[in-house]
Amino acid sequence: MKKDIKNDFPIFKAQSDERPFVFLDSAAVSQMPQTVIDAVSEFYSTYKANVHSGIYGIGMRAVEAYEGARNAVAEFLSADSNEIIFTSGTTASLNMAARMLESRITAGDEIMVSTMEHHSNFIPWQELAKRTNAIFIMLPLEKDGTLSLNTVRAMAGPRTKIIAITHVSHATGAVNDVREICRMAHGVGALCVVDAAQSAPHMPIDVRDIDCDFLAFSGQKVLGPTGTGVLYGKEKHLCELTPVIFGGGMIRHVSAEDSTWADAPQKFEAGTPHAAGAIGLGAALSYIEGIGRKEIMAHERNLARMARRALMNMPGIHLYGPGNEKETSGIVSFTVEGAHPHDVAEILSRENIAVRAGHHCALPLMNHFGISGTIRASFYLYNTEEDVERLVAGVQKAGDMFQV
Amino acid sequence: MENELYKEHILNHYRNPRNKYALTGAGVVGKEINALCGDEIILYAHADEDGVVTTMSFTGEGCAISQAAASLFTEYAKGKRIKELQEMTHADVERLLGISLSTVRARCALLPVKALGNRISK
Ligand SMILES: Cc1ncc(COP(=O)(O)O)c(C=O)c1O
Repeated sequence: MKKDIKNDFPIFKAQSDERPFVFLDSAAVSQMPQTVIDAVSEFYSTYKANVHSGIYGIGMRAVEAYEGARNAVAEFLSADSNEIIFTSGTTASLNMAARMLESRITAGDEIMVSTMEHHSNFIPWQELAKRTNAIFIMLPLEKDGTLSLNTVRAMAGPRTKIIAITHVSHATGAVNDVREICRMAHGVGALCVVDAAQSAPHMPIDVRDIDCDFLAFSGQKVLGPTGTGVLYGKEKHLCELTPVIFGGGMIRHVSAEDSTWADAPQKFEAGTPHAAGAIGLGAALSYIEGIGRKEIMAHERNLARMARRALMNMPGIHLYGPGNEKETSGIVSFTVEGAHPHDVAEILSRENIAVRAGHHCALPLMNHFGISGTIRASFYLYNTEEDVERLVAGVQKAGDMFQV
Repeated sequence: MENELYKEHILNHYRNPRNKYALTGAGVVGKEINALCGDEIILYAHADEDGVVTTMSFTGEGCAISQAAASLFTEYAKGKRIKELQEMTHADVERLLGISLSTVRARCALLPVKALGNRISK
């Protein structure tokens, strides 16, 4: 990783006191390089216009930049541009996918999710099952919180219509073999929806190779602006499925009798989109590609391994997630005996270290572990070995305070 | 007000919470969950006919702030009117705990107050 990378991100300057700011919550929101802030700011200060209206100079420029961002996302996923729908985030993408697929579900069908899902890849499917009288199935996990392919193999059957699965667990960093899970889904005639919120920022993704039917991720986790996201859908699905949100910019013809829809992806983007956000997202992806996701992944895994090894040797620390480091991403989830996760996060915060504490919107997984929450440190391209040392020292301090 | 959150008396109430049990036959029971962390506190109380608390206890797990707040609250409540207790504010709980609290952590400290506000009288 290039040495002075933190200089690309103004937040580190803004938030450092006499101690450099250590940001370890990129799994929730990543920070933005100046190039992304500039791309957003340039839109607002020089060509802000509606991407649906402009037959004037800046309107056309806005359309070009917005569609350019769509092309950048398509390239990032090895997809086609007409398979990319801009949304406000993973949550919006997954809710939309669940609404779009409602017409494919009938009573008695099975909809499957894993027990490690974020609530946003859990509740939309649970609700879909309720609306359609389908059967909602939670795939159980191994003791270490991983999902065994054998479990999917054993539980997926001819009534299974949808398997919704996360690529990487945001709570433990466990990586799922989504390619194999998609193969199994297709083997029983089901569709596979992949939540890539925690993989898109960190590892190469090829939707053709994974062969998923839908895939979702969030802009704010890939160095982009908040309030942006993507839903990828295979072209044949997007052609066949009907929109679930209606309004301007998504029609072909409207009359008193009936209305018809534009082609995908426009028919799924009703209303004025968050063009500045999409343009910022495009800039973020090109920043990431400038470094390379393989390099980013290797860097984060190294930091996570360092953190795990140091924490493992401290008394009263419990680590969650797979022990096999090859199968995890740059996320380290742990608890400190005798100390509530929020208290540990608070003590770290006083050391100018930002971590996430709580149930991480993954209550089924917390139940699986029999705990109320964890402390999560998530690493990204701008983190350093020094950040790991600061984290470990901070956790030590918390442990001492609560007398482990 | 001191800036240090984990002062000795807070840690003391966290480690050895006072009145932490389910009061049997409580006339007043209330529960509140902190949506952010899922921590839950249940408050139990006996009150006389004027609504003055004679005994108060609590159960539930949580962070040092919510546990210490609940412990201190149950002690403070004795002899106070329920109505006045349930109206305690951010500033009031800061005074009770003797520490200043951010908006986020004030939610932890207000958990017992909210639980009392959600009470059902038996
Ligand atoms: C795995 C996973 N899925 C979904 C989400 C929801 O993303 P967003 O809040 O951006 O919609 C998150 C983010 O916390 C996540 O980590």
